[in-house]
Amino acid sequence: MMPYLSYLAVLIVAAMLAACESKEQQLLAEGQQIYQKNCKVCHAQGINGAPILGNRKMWSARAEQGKETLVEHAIDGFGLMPAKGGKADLAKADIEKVVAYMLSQLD
Amino acid sequence: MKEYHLKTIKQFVVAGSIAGSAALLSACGGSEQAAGIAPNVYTDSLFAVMKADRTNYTKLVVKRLGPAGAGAVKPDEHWEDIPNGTLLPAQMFRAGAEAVAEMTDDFTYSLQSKWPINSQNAPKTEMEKQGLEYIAANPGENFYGEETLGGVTYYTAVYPDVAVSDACTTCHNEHKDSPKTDFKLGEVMGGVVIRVPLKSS
Ligand code: HEC
Ligand code: HEC
Repeated sequence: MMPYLSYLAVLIVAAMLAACESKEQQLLAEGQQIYQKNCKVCHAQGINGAPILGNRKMWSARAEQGKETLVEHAIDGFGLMPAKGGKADLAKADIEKVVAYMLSQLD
Repeated sequence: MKEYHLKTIKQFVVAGSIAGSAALLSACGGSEQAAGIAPNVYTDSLFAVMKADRTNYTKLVVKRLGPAGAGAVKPDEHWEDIPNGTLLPAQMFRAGAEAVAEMTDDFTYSLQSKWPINSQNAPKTEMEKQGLEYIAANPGENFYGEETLGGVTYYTAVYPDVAVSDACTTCHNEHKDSPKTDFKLGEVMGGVVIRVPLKSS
């Protein structure tokens, strides 16, 4: 009896972990899509000094501010970065997904 | 990809690719061997300087000293008619391109658009048109191609120029000579075209 139960428990935990993993992957994939449509135009090239996707040198000090602050800056605008990159219809959740995606590219 | 040697930069040992760099490094002994640089690395580098200068002029002069800052200078299309008038960033950019054209034929560059205020800034060659189409359809990507003009083969790179603030869209949309009146923030408004003559090796 016992070995079966623990076997089952392991399976369940593994399944849950896999679900978490894929949920996270899913969110990053969504972030990537929103990025490509709305943010890439500046962040692929460093237009106006926009930190380039995946460029650790450009991101390091910014990333240290933490995700919350970055999301806030992306929503309100920051220096030469226009609020929401000019796409007023993007929701906070959209911006959060993109910032998570941007940060994931520094790993 | 074919290997090219750009006419002007043979003297420099610059690694164009990882594969090439070992060979280039070993050629450092002062031999006459030509060191190549991939043309896109060359044009990308030129563009990085242009972009940095344009951003800095906008940020450090126009914004800082213009109406949004100290109000000491007046950026205006007709800057020459105003005692404290200063060039718009696009005009400053063109002034740079013209000064380079006086110095050398080894490369040329220009700021162009399919919807130009100044008709001189419209694309002229097929490749320029194709490049501007491409960067507008693929935001954030560059365009690279080769074209033959007057018997010379050129490497032509096109880099996006983006509406980064409401100032860009408002001025262009309201300008009497602008053929397009609905530019939006974040949209590709035009592109920087860099053209370099190639010598195939
Ligand atoms: C029109 C060009 C442009 C677009 C479009 C754009 N950005 Fe930016 N972004 C910038 C620039 C320029 C900066 C650097 C601002 C500065 O430090 O002056 C920046 C900086 C940032 C930063 C770092 C802020 C900080 O605190 O250092 C984040 C995060 C960011 N952008 C997110 C986004 C997201 C998300 C999108 C898409 C929804 C987006 N950006 C679209 C130009 C753009
Ligand atoms: C105050 C008005 C004004 C503002 C602001 C402005 N421009 Fe222009 N722009 C012009 C004028 C005038 C020209 C034509 C310059 C020339 O004679 O070459 C021009 C030229 C251009 C060109 C070359 C094609 C053309 O239309 O002739 C591009 C591309 C361009 N601007 C993009 C931008 C971008 C991007 C911004 C914002 C960063 C911007 N402009 C801001 C007035 C403006």
